[in-house]
Amino acid sequence: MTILSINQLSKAYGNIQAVDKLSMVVERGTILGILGPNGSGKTTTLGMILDVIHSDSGTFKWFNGEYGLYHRKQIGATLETPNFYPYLNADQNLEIVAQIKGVKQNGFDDILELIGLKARRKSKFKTYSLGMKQRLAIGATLIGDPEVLIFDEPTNGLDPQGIAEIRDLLINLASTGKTVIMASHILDEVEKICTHVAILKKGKLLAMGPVGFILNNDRFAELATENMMELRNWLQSWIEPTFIKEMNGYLECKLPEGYTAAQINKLAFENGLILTYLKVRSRKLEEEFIELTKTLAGDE
Amino acid sequence: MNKLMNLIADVRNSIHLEWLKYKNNTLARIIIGVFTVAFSFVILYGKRIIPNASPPLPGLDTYYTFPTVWDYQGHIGNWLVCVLFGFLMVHFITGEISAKTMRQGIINGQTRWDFYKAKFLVIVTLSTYATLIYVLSSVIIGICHTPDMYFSLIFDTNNLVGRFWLMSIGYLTLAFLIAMTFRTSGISVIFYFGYVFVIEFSFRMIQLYFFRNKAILFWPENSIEDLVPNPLYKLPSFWMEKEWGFSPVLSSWESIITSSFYITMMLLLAWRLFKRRDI
Repeated sequence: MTILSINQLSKAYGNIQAVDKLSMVVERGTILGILGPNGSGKTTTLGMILDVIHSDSGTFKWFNGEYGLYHRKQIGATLETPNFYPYLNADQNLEIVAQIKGVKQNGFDDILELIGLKARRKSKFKTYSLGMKQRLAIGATLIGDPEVLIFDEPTNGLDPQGIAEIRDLLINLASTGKTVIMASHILDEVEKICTHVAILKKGKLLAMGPVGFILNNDRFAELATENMMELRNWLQSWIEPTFIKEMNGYLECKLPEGYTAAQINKLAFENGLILTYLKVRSRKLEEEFIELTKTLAGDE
Repeated sequence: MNKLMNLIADVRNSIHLEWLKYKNNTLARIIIGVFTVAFSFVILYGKRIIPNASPPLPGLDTYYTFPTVWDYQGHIGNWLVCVLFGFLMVHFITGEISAKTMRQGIINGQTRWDFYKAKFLVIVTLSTYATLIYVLSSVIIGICHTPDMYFSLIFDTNNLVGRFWLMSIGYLTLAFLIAMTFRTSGISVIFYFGYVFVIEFSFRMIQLYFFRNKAILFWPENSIEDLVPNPLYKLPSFWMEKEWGFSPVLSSWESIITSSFYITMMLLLAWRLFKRRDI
């Protein structure tokens, strides 16, 4: 079932085209990561489909129009910052969300337990750290058990521990079978959580599809030995030199098709090199993203 | 019948939502507390510090006895609603905008109309509360001070209760429109008080300088203010009417019709702004 269909959606701020004829379809159960650098139109797109930003042209439809004007009651969403009444505590703020959604909820113990705020439930929102505010915002999206969850840069401004906490929370939520739409510019985060990605740049949709479909089949090896110069010379004898990059303490190279870690280790040993580090990996979403935004946007 | 029941449930839900938002708001509690206490005690405190005036000024008794207590309490209420509740309304709206809770409310499922309607209900509720305090304080002060009182004298109000309610709606709607327009609390507060006390008055004086006619009375704030005018205007009114050819205060019906028109316009304008803007 189609949860969201967007058709030719556009929005400009003066001369800046924030979103440019964007079309996409999101099916039920998809965990979609919307990727893009700052200013690529991610938040504007989410703002339009959440009815807080007016589009200049184009249309979108939630749930095939099943819920009419009140479709957002079936959606739990955060946009940019966590927005709550600063003088109210977690319980009181969640009660307001429940009242808006028309949900009769007998306390919020489960939600507060899940987001780890049970101990601070009676503290005013303004006394929370940014991580706690983000967690409360994620908790509020769960009220009424909505079909769709939308998160906009959920780890923005958090320290590494906060990022790890939010990421674990999102992975838990994604495993519940809900449809999740998440905008982020942290590609590692999206790669770990999402089933599908949409890549935006300057308001245009560059690519969209399952993560495996977006990532091509290129494989990379990371290698190190005691004599790095000899290693480089050996690699250059059978790999295109432009595919070899010097990294911090190791060399990275794009592998010709069919090579495994065992084969590389054997070949190196036969050439008198004892590898101290060897890792073969697929292409990262980050590499794919940079490649796509360079080649498809044609601005380099 | 079903439609009526739905409407009642809708109004009840909106009021409940606003109650959840503001019941723990410290500034709202302080302002409503000060309003309630001041409404009852300003006039009584005045008795202790203002000497009994000589004619033609009214004697102190007229401030506290029926039916004129309605006029004087109404005039105190005019100031209190304008200053305290006007400020509170600006605080409510700009607070929702700066904390982005207005935006989050829409994201959570409210329609823009739901939000707007809930804020209009806040205006109505605050105005009704102000009117209730006006009635209670006037009745209590009047009963305690009026000798030879009889029942019909208590309610000889010349529609002042209804006019007071409309006046409260008028000030709060003006504050609502200004807050929705400027969106930041500092600028909205400055513009609200600037408009009420300086800007409109200045325009009226310029108009009076060039065109001495009754049109100077039909400005928005003045027509709202004249719903419950300063009772002391009754003295210069007589002289000014002879000199200028018109009274400096609108009649009850003129102020009711004019202020109702402006309230409707302000509500429509606020809705139009809110509907069209990104939030």
